[in-house]
Formats: sequence, structure tokens, C-alpha cells
Amino acid sequence: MRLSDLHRILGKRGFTIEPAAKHHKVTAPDGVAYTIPCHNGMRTEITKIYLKGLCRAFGLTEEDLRD
Amino acid sequence: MNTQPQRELFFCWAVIRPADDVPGQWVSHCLDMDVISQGNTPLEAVSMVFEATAIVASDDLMKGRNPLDRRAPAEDWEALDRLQEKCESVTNLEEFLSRLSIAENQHLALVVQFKVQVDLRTHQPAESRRISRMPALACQQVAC
Repeated sequence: MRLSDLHRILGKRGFTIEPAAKHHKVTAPDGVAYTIPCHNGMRTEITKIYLKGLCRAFGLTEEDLRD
Repeated sequence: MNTQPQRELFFCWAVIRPADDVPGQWVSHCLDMDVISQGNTPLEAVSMVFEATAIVASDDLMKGRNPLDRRAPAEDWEALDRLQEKCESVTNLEEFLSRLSIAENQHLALVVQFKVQVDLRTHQPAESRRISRMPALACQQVAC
């Protein structure tokens, strides 16, 4: 999955995303924040381990991240 | 006189490994706050997890949350314990990595202890860097 795909999926679920240095800061509707690496721009390839961490941070399942 | 602390300081552990599923990517995981990042090289992955941890810690503190409540699952801490038993100390991480071949790099795991400081007045990261007295640890067996 690329960063651009993740942006689209999280955006649909009501998360807000803002740039923060070499990361993007994602904030859930309940205010919890987490970071997404964007060191290769919007084409950054996101790893499965990272996605598992993102799911833990926001209480999501991997199914929730399917388009 | 204001005696309130102006900075919050956190000491954290991070594990850095090659990604299984994305060639050329390194995954860095701060266990204390369960923050994961990535980089194109081991060193970039280290600096990325410093940055990500500082952003998350600053945001949590601004919202009255304790970033240490995020702590990684127990199995990740157990994996860290196993790694530490097999690792060797590296005083100069950059120099150590420059001596490794690409093939050796692909089987490398790194353990780094670092500190994150957040300015409580601005809720911005004040500093995030490796603890110089605590050398990095390197292990050639990713599966350990």
C-alpha cells in the first residue's frame, strides 16, 4: 500500500491528516494522533508492520484499512 | 516562583529491522510508545522513529494523555529481550553500518535507546536523540 492509498482510506473514515516534518500526523475523530512516514513523498510504500501499529493506535482492524 | 517542570523527558527503546514485505525499507519501532516508522536505510529509520515518537509524545501531552500508555504488546518486549541477548555493542552506529555489505545489512537488527524531550510550554519536541552513553546494539540474526 502507498501513502496516497492510506490517506484516502483514513480520510473516508473521518481522520484528519497534516504534514509534520518527514511524517504526516493523523488524528482520529476522538483526538488520538499517530504518525505516517512520508520520507518518499506520497509514493512511500507502507509496510505491513507499520499498518499493524497504526491499527493498534486507533483500535482499527486490518479489514478496516481495505479500500 | 514557578517550579513546574518545563520539559518532559522520556527514555525509549527502539528496534530497527529490514521490512519483510517492502524491499529496501527499514522498519523502526519505539516500544515504549508503540510508535512505528520507516526509512530507506537503517540510519534513516532511526532518525524517523525519533521524529515520530517526538510528534506523538508532544500531541499526547498537549491533550493531557500519557504517551507511555501506548506501550507495545508484550510479545514485542519479549522479542527485544531475546535480541539484546544476541546483540553486540556498537559505539559508532554510522561507522559500523558503513562497513557492512548490502547482504549483511539485510540480516541486521538494531536496538537503540534514545531520549525524547517535549517542551511543556509549547508542546513541541525539544530534543530527540540517541543516548550517547548507551551504545546501539546490533545483531545479525533477524529471526532471533
